[in-house]
Amino acid sequence: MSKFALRNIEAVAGNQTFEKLLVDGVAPFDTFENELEAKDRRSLEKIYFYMNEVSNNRTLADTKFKDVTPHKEKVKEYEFKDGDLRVYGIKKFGGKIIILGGYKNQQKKDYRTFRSLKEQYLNSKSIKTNNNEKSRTPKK
Amino acid sequence: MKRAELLKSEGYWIAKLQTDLYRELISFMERTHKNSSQLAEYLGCSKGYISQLLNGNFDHKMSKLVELSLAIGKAPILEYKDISGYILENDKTFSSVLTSSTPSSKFTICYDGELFRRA
Repeated sequence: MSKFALRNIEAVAGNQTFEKLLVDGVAPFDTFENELEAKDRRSLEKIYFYMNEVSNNRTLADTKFKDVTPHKEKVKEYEFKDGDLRVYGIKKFGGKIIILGGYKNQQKKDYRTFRSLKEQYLNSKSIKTNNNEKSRTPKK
Repeated sequence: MKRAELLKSEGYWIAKLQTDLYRELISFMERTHKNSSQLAEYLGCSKGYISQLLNGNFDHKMSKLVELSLAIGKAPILEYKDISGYILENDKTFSSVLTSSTPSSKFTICYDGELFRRA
């Protein structure tokens, strides 16, 4: 089972906190950023701007940032986009968690990875919460 | 990406100018109760062009930016700041946001007041 952690995204500053998900010590969002083609750099910078706006609770065109939560899904899902780039995240109390980024032409595959990581992360959190509660319950 | 690096990037500022114009247009449409077709007619632009603006994708000539701003009753005031000073100021603003949760960042372009009112 993978180990999950969160790390603050330093380039985003505002009222809402933006963190990236780390899977076994590596953030898929960092991998995406590091492997980005030079021609797409500007699009990523623009996406960072949109993240800052969302962090400061400002409205954006829904072509830039939108809720992509499937019906009946409890934890909200979001997509940031510019040009051929897409960045996927979820809601958390007081902010957002960025899970991964990808290209438009790999959207289907990326959505599968995104939702799988989201599920694994949320499950790992609920296991942790349950274990903490058990350890706090006094033994009879 | 580090915050200072982001604030020095072209993409950040392009997106900011595009988003500011997008918000001004949305606010104008709300104020004047116009839909996008009526806005296109009012500005003498095609619907396609308006849809591009309303998607936050304005990337045309400076003369067009001025023309659009004045047409919606706004003065597009452009201000140039030293980038290092701006980054420092932004850092301070963010620190105060964290403690007081009241954001107040400085921008380099603002659409200041209505220049005139249309009947």
